[in-house]
Amino acid sequence: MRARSIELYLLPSLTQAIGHDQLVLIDATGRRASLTRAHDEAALHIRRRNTSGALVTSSLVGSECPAGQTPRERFDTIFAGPAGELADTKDGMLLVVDCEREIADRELDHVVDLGDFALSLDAEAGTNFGDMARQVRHTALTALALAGFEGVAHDGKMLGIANMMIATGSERPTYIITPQASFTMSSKSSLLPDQAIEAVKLAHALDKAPKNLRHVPRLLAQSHENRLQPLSAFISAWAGLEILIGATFERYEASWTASISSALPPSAQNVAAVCAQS
Amino acid sequence: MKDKYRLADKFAIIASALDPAGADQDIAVFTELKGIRDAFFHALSTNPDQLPGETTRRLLRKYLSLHLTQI
Repeated sequence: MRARSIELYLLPSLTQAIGHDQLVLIDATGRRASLTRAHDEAALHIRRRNTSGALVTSSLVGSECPAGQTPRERFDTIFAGPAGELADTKDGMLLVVDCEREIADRELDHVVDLGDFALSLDAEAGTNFGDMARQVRHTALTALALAGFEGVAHDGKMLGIANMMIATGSERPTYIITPQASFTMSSKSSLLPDQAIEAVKLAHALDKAPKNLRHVPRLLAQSHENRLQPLSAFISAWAGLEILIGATFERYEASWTASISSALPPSAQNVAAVCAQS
Repeated sequence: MKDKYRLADKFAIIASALDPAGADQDIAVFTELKGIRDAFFHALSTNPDQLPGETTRRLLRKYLSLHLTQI
């Protein structure tokens, strides 16, 4: 079966990517991140998941289905109301993070069949999603920040996360109920064409970077998110800087050694070579 | 031989390779940040509320970005 996680993240301060209806930042096996003005499929999954949460909550607090109403009819009633609506997305672009991976088949517990989809309160299933989506989101947002959107990229608003299980050979999702988080935002701007190209390049490079370097976007994002707590913000940023230096130094050491050696007189080059090997 | 360079030496080499024109200034900033970091962790002689998070982030963003354009 497949575990799939879709995050929909509103960037209110990024009003458009000039020249792009959709800007794909990451497109790799099992993970994809794109900027768009509208994303009907992701929005549908998030609305269904949010409605499922409201349905479960109403059951937990003792609200009964009106007489004769099936769970699906109850779901549709909630879906059509405020609980099924997404926050206003007119202002700002959407970042869609879509990750999926194959996992061992298993029977889900506490499943409610709602027709063409289902929901589950299976706590164990929640552990199958890991932090890949979060890492992809940090990578995409860091790429945007590096392309010129300092602050903007880290100050978005999480509209929802839909974690789902899909049986092999099926497209019918079972939504797993999990917690959510949200953030606030600041000023507004547009993503210029050159910045869009830069963001795509940076996202691609970050996504393909060695594993140790992939901690850096997370630490950078963490530092920015904690910017009102100077100690946490500084420690995260400094740790990111140390990791960056450690992870990249070897690449630049060789060229530095070569340039130093070429500047030495021939009589000293042998000594330098011995020192470099010691 | 491992660790024949100090952290500041490594940064200086990386900065010189990635931004030769701005390296001197960034090395000075890095040295100052490292001093603040050491003073805080080793002697607790820095006010935590005055730790320079934004300056550190700016340096990290700059060199992460420059490095990524090289790979």
